[in-house]
This record gives sequence, structure tokens and C-alpha cells, in this order.
Amino acid sequence: MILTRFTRTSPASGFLVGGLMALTPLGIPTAMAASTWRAELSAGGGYDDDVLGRPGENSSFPILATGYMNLAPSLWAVWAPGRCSLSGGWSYVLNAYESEEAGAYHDNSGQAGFGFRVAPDVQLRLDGEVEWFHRTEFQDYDFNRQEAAPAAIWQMDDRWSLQGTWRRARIAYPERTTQALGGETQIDRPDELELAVGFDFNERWRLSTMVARLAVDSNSRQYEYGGDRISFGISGDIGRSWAVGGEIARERRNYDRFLYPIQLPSGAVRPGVGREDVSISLAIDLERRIVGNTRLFAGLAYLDYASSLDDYAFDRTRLSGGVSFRFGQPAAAAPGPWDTGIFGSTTPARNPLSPTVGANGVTFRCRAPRATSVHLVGTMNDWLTGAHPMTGPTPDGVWETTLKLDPGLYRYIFHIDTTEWRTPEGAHLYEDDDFGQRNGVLDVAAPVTDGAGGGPSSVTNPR
Amino acid sequence: MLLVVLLMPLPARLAFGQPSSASSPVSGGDISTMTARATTAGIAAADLNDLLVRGRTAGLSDEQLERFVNTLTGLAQDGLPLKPMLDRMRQGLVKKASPERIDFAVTKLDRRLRESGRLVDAAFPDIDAGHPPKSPAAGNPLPTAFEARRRLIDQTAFALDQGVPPTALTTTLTEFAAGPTPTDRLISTRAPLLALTSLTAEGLPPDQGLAFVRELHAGGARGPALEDLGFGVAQAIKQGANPMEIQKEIKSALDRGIPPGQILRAIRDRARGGKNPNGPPPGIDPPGGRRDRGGPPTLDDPGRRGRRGGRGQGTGGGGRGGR
Repeated sequence: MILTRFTRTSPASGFLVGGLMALTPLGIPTAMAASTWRAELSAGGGYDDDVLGRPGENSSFPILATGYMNLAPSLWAVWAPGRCSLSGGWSYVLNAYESEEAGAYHDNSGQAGFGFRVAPDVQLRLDGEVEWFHRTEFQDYDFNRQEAAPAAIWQMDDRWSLQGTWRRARIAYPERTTQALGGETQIDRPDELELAVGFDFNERWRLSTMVARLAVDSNSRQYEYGGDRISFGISGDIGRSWAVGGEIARERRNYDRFLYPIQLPSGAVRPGVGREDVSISLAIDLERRIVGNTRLFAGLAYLDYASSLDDYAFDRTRLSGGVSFRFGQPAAAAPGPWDTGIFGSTTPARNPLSPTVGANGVTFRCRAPRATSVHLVGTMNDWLTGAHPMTGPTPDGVWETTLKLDPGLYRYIFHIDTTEWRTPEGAHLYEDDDFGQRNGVLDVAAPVTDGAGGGPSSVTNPR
Repeated sequence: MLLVVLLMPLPARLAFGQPSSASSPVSGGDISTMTARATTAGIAAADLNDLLVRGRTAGLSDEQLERFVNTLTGLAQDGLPLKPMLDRMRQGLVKKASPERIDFAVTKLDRRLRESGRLVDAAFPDIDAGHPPKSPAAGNPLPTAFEARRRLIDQTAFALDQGVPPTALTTTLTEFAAGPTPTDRLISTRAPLLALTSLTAEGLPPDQGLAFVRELHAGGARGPALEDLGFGVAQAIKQGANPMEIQKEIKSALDRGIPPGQILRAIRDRARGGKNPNGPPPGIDPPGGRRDRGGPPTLDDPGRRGRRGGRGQGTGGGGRGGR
């Protein structure tokens, strides 16, 4: 599911970050500003079309096709004092298939996490999860799972990020007791190492890739296997309301210890040892914000699962769609909006707050740690590239310049190293420039006081 | 020196702005006639000169430069703002856009400005479009109402571009106009218009945005404070806040007599994460973020695998399977 990766800070889909606590009355000091919560309810449905086994290749399985309905509430809260954060959540998924044979399943999970930022660019995390899965049919696949996942995230610069994660889980199948286990419950212990790289192509689009290595131990030896996975993904926004994501992945599994002999439909018997499966999956998801916290989502996914054993090969196509409602408020954002980073991890986007007002005028800031020069270019200098060089970088990689501006509507953009145009983060408004970039837009008016006693600079925006 | 340059015949000024080895950027009598007409229409000679020099340096053809000048002249003759158009042309040149792309952008903006001009003039029928000064270089100051109207047209064009429908703009321009002088009336619509633009840009339906601006205005928010409240709410909506909740909260605050500036400060403090100037610490997303948090089931969820397993075959994978 790709929708989770839409949780990035962007005009169309930045629902994860933010900071307005609706539960806190205005005018009251915001001591709880670093705490937040969110609830979500999504409902939808879809259609699965499975081809189990290869047609014409001794398949004993029929083609299965079924619709399903889906309901998924979730809750999540975080408390974030200082450089740390503690978070917790619960999610539930009910999936009911139209086909009686397929039945329904319930999936309950609780999550907890701890994060600590050791440096502006580096953070450590420890996430844990407990899950209970129950299916009305085929209860030998019911399971409960506990997982711990320590991770380190390095924001290399304002575009590249790197994340390493180690996942260790215990999965018990209470209904899966085989003769080989002597009546004991089957327990698997997956162990997975992941390395993910993210690249923010621009403020709207993110590319990501991940490689992972998995090894599964089990007290039921035939279920032990190893494997690897590589995936490429892209996610981004189209216009103000649409978000789109796509991913292609290849996964390989090798069941070196798969001991059971396999009886083929033809009557022949072949050993299971050395079985190798390779799957290629492709998924495209769309999300559209209708209004406020209501969103429509739709997805198309295709999986091609090939195996050295013909009977284990299958294709699957899934169409899905639905609507989701989000409640509560997301976490604080500025000055560095945080997105979910690579495949859902948290990475700081580290955007400086800009533009801001001061006694000397309007200050524009741009984070570009590795740039050798940054210029502010826009209406204020008739789009002359060299007119307003910015000073920097600061130790945080920020360049800035302060200007006195007359009233009016200003379009602007940053020019990095005289070659790259960079859309300002945190601008009051944006516009597409019709030349392939987005400008920040700032309206400058004469400052006025409002009786709050704060004076113009604290009451008005940079004007 | 500047005066000398401005008073030079245009071809000579163009040559003045070029490297000595460059030829005159525009030649022939047509362009001279055209530029003379443009300056008569009120386009500052310095702006014209600057644009043509840049266009020539960027390798634009004479025909395209003529189109630029004609477009500007047309806007000037119709009392429409030149600054946003000059801005767009310069922007296209500095960003090295193709001539076709610049033409497209110029045509689009021309259409927007004209539509905006019609809306503003319909809302303020008693305000003359005004006439440009005969010679800005001679120190003739621009009429205030003239400039205020042009700025408002620019802002209205921007609002159109951000998705505010003409009907909502007309309502805003007529409903919030106030003040003893034409200039005051023009300027007084600026803040509500920008607030509405901010809200619409973040996806709030225009009628809902307009209703909210009315509430803010009725609560005493004016000028930049009103703009900022609109902007602050728009940011909050962008970050996931419930528009209805936040509207209710702000209205309640205004009803209690809390000054708009204080409300705005509260919004900003929260948006900045309270006392933490560096933003929130790590780990603010739900743990286990790779997994579904709602929405349809994953392609490779355990349940689907279970169906295969239920046939007594077993896939060997079990458990979570692939992600």
C-alpha cells in the first residue's frame, strides 16, 4: 500500500505535519504544542482477480475472483518533549470478502515508538508493534506478532536521506500445529536488514529505493527461508488536491529447507528442497483531497509470483478504492516540516522559516548546505539573477538575505550555484510559473496595529 | 547618465545595453514606431529597453520582441497593470524558457489580467481606469487610484489563477469595499481578497472561504491582520486541521474580544511547534509506518496468503509475507 507514503509535507497531502491543536483554546499558552493526535477512518472496497497456478501448466487451482469491503479505523498520538518523542497508536482492519470461501479477516495492531535526535541531521528510532490477526476461514493462518525495529536516519543534505533499519519479529501461529512440531505452535522469527535511500527531486516529488535482506528461522524447519528485496518508488503531488504514488519491487525467496515432497496434479512427485520464488509487483495509488480532512483513494496493483514449482505460481490483480476521514491534528511542523521520509520513516525536511519580518525588513532564507552561492531572484529585483546574493551558509546550511520591500505582490525563487532554480519552502503562497517551476508569492502591505499591543512586527506578517 | 540613455532613440539605447560587438537588437522602422507607441501608451522607456535587451541577449526573434511590445502596449492602452506582465516576460527569459513557452505564458497572463480588469472595473464602475503619466521620467507621480486599481487587478488575477471563481471575486470586491475615497475603497478589498485566495489555494471551497472571511471581517480583523488570519488558517488546513473546527475556534475567540493579532500569534506559535524553535523531535509519525494505517488491504497481506494455505498446500511464507 503506497498511500502511507503520501504523508509528506506538501500542498496537497501534508496531513501528517502541522501544529494547530484544535483542542487547545486559542489565547491559552500552548504548552502542549508538542503533543498531538490523529484519528482516521477509511472505508472502501475493491475487486481481486487471482489466477492461481499457471493456466495450462498442470494447475490444480481455479481462477478466483472476488470483491471485498474494507473498514479501517486507526488512532495515533505523540508526545514530543525536546529532542525526544514518544508515540503510540492502534489500528484495526476489517476485510470482508464477497466470496464465502474467502471469508473475512480482522487485523488488530498496537504500536509504540521512541525517537531521539542526536544531531540536527541524525536521528535514532526504536519502534515496536504487537499484532493479532484472525481469519474466519483458514485459521491455520491466524497469527500474533511482535516486532522491534531500531533504525538510524541520516539526512545527508536537503535532498538526500539514508535510513538503515533492523527488524526482528516473532510470529506465532496458534492454529498451526503439525506433526513435525510434535503438537507445538509454529513460531517463526524473521530477521530483516533494510537500507533505504530517498531523494527529493523537488518539493513535490520524491524518489526512493530500498534493498532488504531477510532470513526467517522457524521451529517448523520447512518454513525457514531467506530472501532479498529491491524496490523503487515515486510519490508526489499533482496540483493542489491530487497525490500519486507508484512502486515496483522484486523479491526473491529461497526455501532451502522446504522438505515436503510435492505431488503434482499429474500424479508425479517432486522434492520441495531448493524451491525458489521470485515475485515482481507493481502498484499505483491515487489520492484526492475533496475538502478538509476527507480524501478519496484508489489503487491498482499487480503481482506476478513465479516459482520453481509451477503450482505455487500465480498472478493477482487488485482494484481498490474508498474514502477516508481524518480527525484531530497532526504534529508540529515549522520551521522544519517533517515528512515520513523513506517508506514511512521520519526524516526532517529542515526547511527554515521564511519569509519572516524583522525591524530591518523581510528576511528570506534558503537551506542549501552544499551550495557555493544562492541568490534571491524575483519581482523585487526584476528577475536579475545577481542582484540579491544571499549570505551563508550558516552551520545549519541556511542562506539568507533581508530586504525592505514596498507594498505589492512579489513572486520569487532561489537560484542555487547559478544553475538550479529552487522553489522556496514555507512561502505564504505559491504559483506555477508556466515555465516548469513554482514561485513563492508574498503579498506586502503596509503594517498596521490591531490593538493587541504587540506592534506591527509581531502582529502582521512580513509587511 | 540614466536620463541620457532614456532619451536616446530606442535602437541606440538597445545598442547601448549590449556588448560592443553585438548588433542592434531590433532593427527597422516597425519596431521604432511600435516602441514609440508603447511609450506613449505609458510604458516606461527603461522597462522597455531592459526587456528588449534581455530578449535580444536570449536570442529572441524580432517578431517575438514585437509581440512582447504589442502585448504590453495593449495592456497599457486598456489601463491594465504592466508590472505582472513584465515580471512574467523577464522570468521566462531568465529561466531560459523556450520562446513558445514564453508566448504561452504571456498569452495566459494577458487573458487573466483582462478578465481581472473586467471584474475590478465592474465592481468599481465609478473609478476611472486612469491614464498613465505623460512622462514618468520627468517626475510626474502616478495617480494613487491609478496605481491602487492596477495592484488590485494584479491581485485579482492571482486569485483567479489560484482557483477563486469570478462570482466569489465579484462578491468580495463589492462587499468589502469601504472608505471615503476611491483609493481607500480599492485598498480595503485587498486583505479580504488575499485571505480568500489563501483559503481557496488550500482547498477550501470558495463559498466556505468567503463565509469565513466575512466572519473574520465582522470580528474586527482588517488589513494585514485579516490577510494573516486567512493565511494562518490556510496553513493549518494544509497541515491537516479541520476547517470547520478552526473556524469555530477563531470565531469564538473573536466573539470573546480577543484581538486578531493575538489569535494570529497563537496560530503561529502552534504552527511552529510551540517553544521548540527547531521543530519537533524525531519519531513523530506512527511507529511501524511502513504498514497500512487504513485504506484497502495490501496486495500481499496474510489473509490472502491464508487462502492458499487453507488448501493444505502451504506456501512456506506464512506470516507477514512480503510487503
